[in-house]
Amino acid sequence: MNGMSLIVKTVTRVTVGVIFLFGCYLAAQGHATLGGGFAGGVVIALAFILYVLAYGRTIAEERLSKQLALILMELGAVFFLMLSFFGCKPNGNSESILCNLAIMVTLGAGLFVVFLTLVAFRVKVREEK
Amino acid sequence: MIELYLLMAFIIIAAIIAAENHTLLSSVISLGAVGLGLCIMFLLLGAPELAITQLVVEILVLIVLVRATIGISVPETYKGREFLSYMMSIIFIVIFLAGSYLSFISLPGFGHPIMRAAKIYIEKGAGLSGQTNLVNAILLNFRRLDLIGMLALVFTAVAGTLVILRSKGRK
Repeated sequence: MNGMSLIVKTVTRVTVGVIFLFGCYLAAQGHATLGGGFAGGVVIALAFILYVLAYGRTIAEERLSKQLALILMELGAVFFLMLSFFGCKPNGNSESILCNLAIMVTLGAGLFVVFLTLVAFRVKVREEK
Repeated sequence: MIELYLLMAFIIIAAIIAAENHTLLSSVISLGAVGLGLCIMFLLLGAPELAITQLVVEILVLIVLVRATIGISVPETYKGREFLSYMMSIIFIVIFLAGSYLSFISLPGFGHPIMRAAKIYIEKGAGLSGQTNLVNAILLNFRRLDLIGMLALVFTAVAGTLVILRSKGRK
């Protein structure tokens, strides 16, 4: 994959940061208004997917490689488990914010890894001799 | 209430188009119409959090499916169907509709009595959890085990994708 045309690349360069920030906003404001960790994580994964589709895989993996995304996903999930077992008392918004951020990191990195694997996959028809 | 029935008819028609189409790309886009109609239904029923999640997940699934199915054509495997299979499918549809009518006629009305489990959450949820958003309080405090199951689901999806779709096999 070599990426798309110059117009798409320019628009992506401008908008991908805003989309990423909107995902962080959805997750960080989830305790007070609409949104939550799930929607924020999927929006962040969509921002990285837009980057992969516009610039191609090799340039996008310089920003966030597959190994780093896997490590981030595992760290987020372990952090959420730790919060669940040894967390503070369930009264107040502070634990809720941390849980939403952990879910956001886990889902964003996990769905990004799934998309990277699907992009690399090609169906090869075996030639019969 | 009439707009809900209209949206439901739209969803059913889009699903039938997605099932009966012979082009993969058209089927994927019809599936996207199904999901977006469901999103508007959630919005009309007064559940904007669910509508946001449904919309975002629907777009992600649409992108992944279009990327996976573009340029792939499926050869037609069956040309003419038998008369017997048509009759059997019609009989099964009639039996299914009659059974679902008999089972749904005895249910209480839509959202009329608030269920016992939900009533406790609505009355005491804000005081027990001390949070601003009641939906988030229920999800993160009372139903925390569901969220752990969801994260396990994501882990399984990633592991399954990495194992099945790896580019190099082990020698």
